[in-house]
Amino acid sequence: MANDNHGRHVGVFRALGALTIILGVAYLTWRYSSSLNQGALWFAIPLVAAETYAFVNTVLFVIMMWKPTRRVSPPPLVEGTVDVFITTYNEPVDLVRLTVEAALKIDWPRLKVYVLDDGARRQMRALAAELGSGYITRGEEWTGKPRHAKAGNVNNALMATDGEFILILDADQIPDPRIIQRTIGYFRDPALAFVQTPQHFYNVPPGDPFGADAPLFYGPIMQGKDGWDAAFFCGSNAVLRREALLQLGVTEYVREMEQHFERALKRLRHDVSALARRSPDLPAARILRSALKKADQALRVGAPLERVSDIVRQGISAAQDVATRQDVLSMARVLENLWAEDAKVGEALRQLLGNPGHGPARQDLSSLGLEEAAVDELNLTRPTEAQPVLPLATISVTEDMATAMRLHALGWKSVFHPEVLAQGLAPEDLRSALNQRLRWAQGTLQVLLRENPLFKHGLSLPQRIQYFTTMLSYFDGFASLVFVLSPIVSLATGLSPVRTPWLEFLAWLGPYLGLNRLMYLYVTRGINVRRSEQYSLALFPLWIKAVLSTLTNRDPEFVVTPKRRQSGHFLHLVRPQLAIIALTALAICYGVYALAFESQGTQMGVAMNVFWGGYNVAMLLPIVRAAVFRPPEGWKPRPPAFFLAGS
Amino acid sequence: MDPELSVRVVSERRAVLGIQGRLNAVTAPATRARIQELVGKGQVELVCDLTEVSFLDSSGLSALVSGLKATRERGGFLKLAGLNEQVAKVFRLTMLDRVFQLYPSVEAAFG
Repeated sequence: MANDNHGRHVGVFRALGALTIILGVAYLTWRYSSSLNQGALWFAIPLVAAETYAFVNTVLFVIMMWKPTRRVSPPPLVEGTVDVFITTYNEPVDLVRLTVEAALKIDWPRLKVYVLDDGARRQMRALAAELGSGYITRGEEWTGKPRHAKAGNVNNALMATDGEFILILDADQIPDPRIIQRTIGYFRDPALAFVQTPQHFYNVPPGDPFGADAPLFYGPIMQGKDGWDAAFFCGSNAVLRREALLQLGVTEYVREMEQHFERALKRLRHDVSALARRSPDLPAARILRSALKKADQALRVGAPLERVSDIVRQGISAAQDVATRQDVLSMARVLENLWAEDAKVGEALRQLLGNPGHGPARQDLSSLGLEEAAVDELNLTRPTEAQPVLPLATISVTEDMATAMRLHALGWKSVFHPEVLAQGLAPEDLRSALNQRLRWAQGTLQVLLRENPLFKHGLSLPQRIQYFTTMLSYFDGFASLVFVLSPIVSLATGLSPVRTPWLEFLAWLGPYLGLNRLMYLYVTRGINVRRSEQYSLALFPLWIKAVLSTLTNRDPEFVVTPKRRQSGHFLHLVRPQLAIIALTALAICYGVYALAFESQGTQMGVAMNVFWGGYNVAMLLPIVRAAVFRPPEGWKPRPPAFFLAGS
Repeated sequence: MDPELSVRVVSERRAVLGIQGRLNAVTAPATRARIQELVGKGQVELVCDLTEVSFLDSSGLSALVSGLKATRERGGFLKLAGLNEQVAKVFRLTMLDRVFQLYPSVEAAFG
């Protein structure tokens, strides 16, 4: 019965969606062909561009929701070992205590709980000991290497544990004791890499001022993506298969080694050749050059990197055997000039020539002032990382989506299980909330730039579209900016972006917009998406900032979102929104005045723009309220019921 | 759980590490530790004899990669010998055979 309903709902949605798209095409055709105000193209073009962008989003939205899943827990497996990773860095001990206690109560016989403490704090170690959980910190191999924040934390722990399945929990995410029973059955499918469950917060104040809850995302949207086998990993509240993660780590290792190897070899060959040309009487240089050439040939015929690396090593060894002190000094002089700008290659040669385990020549050769990096790369040790195999992606500050994408590209599958099985803490003040969203935005955009899903080998077409859809959404800020400025411009100048009467504009826009709205309301019925919608528009300065900062390649630092409320008011954080509200209000007053006393504009036009401006203000006000929000007197968040019941 | 590991020292720097049975998530940590131990004692030129490995997964591969790093950082090597078809398949699946040369026997590896 439920299935029939589900089928019917999907059918209705598809009809609405298809119709919306058809109307949209008609609308845009009219816009481009007959409506642009030639006399004010600076106004007309940005608006129609923004509308086109919004239409593309609509199409992607319809695709995304085309065949959602509605999964139900399969019976649990009869065996399987589970590790619970609780990641922490600087969260308060009493907060982590709740999570660890709940984790230890998870209903599964072969379970081990580990606290992954990136802060290496004494009190955390003591807590783990007191409660009887494992405790893992970074080893010395991480000294001087990039730590990769949470991804690195999990990668580190993977090397020290052996559970077949891993439940990853953020420090504040209190798990339901049924969480494994309800999700592990999906792993009967040997191709399944992970099960993602929703994130839900128990500290959301009445009215959800910060838009913390994401019932649309952790509901219809993820179910839609799941239907295309593109549900991605969200960083917490997910169970992952170890074999999938490790396999990913190994394949990535191979890829990295191949890329770096080729590059390092090429660089060295180039410079050693130049050296040999300038100092033809230096036998060491000639030996090196021919060894590198042999290595390159081996690489081209597909010899394993180990073999190629050995050839390079043997060449170095031979070169060292014949290099006299005099030779070394001459080489040094030449090299200094050659590599004044390319210190990296210089260091490469130094290491090459200073191969440990060989004689006294090393000392002299290292005085060449050359760099180590490339040689180590030719040595297959992956010197720039603490551990050679890095299962969780480290290319972006939000490692989760990139990891999921890579797993999908390898042919693994994912599941979204729509039952809330863990509850955590949402940011309790505007600054923390904005920081968190900025981090997600920048992280997602970094993945777009560095591993564009549209071109990633191994993904299916629907998967490419799904990942791209999420990433594209962060460009909304630019379109939103145009939308909030348009009524202001119209009311202030009397100009219209269209050369037809406003009424005709409304006649074309109305049906399309109306049906679009109806489709959206239908697919989100029963879910309170008001706050999400408002914030989607109201955060346009944040989205723009995210795009610009990512494009200009200013690496955002990983900022851990604070779990305790920061005090103070945050009006300065919403200055752009305040400005728009003020300008809109002024424009409305002026527009009405100008219509009445200066014959500027038409009644229809002013009415439409007043309505439009008013709508924009209504969408922006909540974030201003959030900036001065204070929780109600005496209101305190209550930990989830299942947790209290179990204690 | 400790895997079945046997060590045959060939010279001051060289040793053969024989692995029997399953090299998977459970036995990988001990294998990794054993290699580190050997490297620490100066045995940096290692050949892993995998003829009696019945099962190998990505965790096992990861342990071998860690061993590769540890030995080569000290100017040595870690070579793999005696892989049966099952095990070789796992290497090919992850493309790790592009990094490791797979030798038919221990003698060939030292060759």
